[in-house]
Amino acid sequence: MENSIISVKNLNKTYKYSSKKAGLFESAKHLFRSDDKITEAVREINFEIGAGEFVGFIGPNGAGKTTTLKMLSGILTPTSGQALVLGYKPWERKAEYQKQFALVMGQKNQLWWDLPPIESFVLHREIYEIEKSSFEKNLEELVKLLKVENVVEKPVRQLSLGERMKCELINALLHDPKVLFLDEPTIGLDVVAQKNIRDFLIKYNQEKKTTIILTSHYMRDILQLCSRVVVINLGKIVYDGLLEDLTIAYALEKIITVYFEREVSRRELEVFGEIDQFDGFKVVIKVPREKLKETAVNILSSNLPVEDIDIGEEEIEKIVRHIFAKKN
Amino acid sequence: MKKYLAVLKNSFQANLIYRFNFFFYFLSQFISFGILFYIWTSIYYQGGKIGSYELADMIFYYLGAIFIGVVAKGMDVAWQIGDEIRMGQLNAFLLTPINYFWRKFFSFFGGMVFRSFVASLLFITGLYFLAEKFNFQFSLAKISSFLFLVFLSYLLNWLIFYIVGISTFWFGFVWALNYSVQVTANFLEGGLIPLDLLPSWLNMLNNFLPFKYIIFVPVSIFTGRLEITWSIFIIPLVWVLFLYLLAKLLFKVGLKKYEGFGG
Repeated sequence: MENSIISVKNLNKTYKYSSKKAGLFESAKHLFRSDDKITEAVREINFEIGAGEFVGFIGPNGAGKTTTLKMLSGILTPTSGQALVLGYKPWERKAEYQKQFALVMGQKNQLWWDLPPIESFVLHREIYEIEKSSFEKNLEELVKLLKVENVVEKPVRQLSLGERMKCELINALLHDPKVLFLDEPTIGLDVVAQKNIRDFLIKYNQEKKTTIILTSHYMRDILQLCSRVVVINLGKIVYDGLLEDLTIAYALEKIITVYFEREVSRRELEVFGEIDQFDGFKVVIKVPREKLKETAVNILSSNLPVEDIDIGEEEIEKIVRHIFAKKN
Repeated sequence: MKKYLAVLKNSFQANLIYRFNFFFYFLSQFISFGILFYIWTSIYYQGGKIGSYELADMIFYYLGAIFIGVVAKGMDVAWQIGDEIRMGQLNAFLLTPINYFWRKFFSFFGGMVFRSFVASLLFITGLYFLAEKFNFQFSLAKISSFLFLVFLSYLLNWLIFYIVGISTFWFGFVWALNYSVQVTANFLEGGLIPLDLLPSWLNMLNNFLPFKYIIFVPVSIFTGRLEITWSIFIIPLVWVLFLYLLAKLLFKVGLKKYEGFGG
């Protein structure tokens, strides 16, 4: 690809880890002798990402998404293979490169815990040697976009998770990164906070043309944000292409979970759609996206002793498993 | 340099947050001194000397030792650094354009500056009440040498425990190692009893170690029991340089291992 910002060729990463079987006796044995084992976290992956693209990395836990992001941000050195981001080898950790990208991890806190976020922002300005005028302009814009005017002067430890995540994002974006890596930025957030962050990211990507790679467990994040997805499973890329093609094939179905007050028979439920799980008191039904509303209404207006109903997306894990099963 | 000053500023501010904790930290040091004062006054009940120490010498020794303890040792460097490595917070530092060693150095330095203020207040108060009673002689050379040596003692202590902290790269978890080094170091530094009361073979051994420059040497300058010579400055300075280079090297090698295990 011409003008590619990120180019990855035959990238591999193997880890050593020391394994231990379960149990007290095994733990005692482990004190004296540990078996080093090797795990192949990332295997021969290849991709190119162009300027301004918003790419989603999806795959089950342990698939190699985070490892890939860690190599691209220079935390880890690959075992073999090549990667260039903005023309730099990330793991050389050159300051010029570090000043041009940012990594935000939903589960890690980079702000100074005891101080208000504004103090961390000022520190960030010094560390990244940002000019005062552009720092102030960026800060004002970001604070307004994320609506955290009243938050930045409260100590981080007193912020809600959503507020903290927004401040993490601001902190990461103060130096106008050309490339942004987001590792599960919405994890653990409530639905409203998730939506706020998504809306912000859409706007930010459109305005600044920042190249963004996102990993998420929430299908909704991927659906709304990314036009292109890379599916990783067991360290390998199993799909790389337009999201539409992927979702049309696999994620068109919605999941309806219904709980009953008393036991019902399977036969009563088969009319509504494909039954995925059933145990008498709870049923999981898959329905095509366009029939969701109709089916839900039908279930609720039927004579069934419905106690509760829950509508959700197909889990990413399942979609990936489908893709994987189909490929083999 | 400006970025490190910003780290210093933030860490100084963060130290101001937990005033309650801080108050109790100082109270604990005050209590320690009170207990030592009481114990040694009882031991010297009939006057006399232990080694070459009279009661006054002993009390002054501990006043100096506690001052250094607060300024140079009132923090747990190895625990904090070890935890950052063990829990993977180190990652965040690896991708920022700042040097990990210096960032940590200045982030602890803020706390030291803060502790020095309060420690000095206590120290001067103690000196005020006790100096006359125990016939303490002031001299500018003595005080300035003492303060410079306290600064070196801060550096030595910091570097030793920075190294203990980054040994997490190899050992995974260093709580017990940290504790062992703390206990051993405190003894070899002269934090328990003045080193010239220990058997000579132990002092011989100690000559090859940096520990005595952390408490015993600075305090003995302060009490006037040691002459001010060039060597008392040069030897700890050489140790600082050596430990600095060792720390840099170990971090580099350790980081390779850290990457291998995924972090």
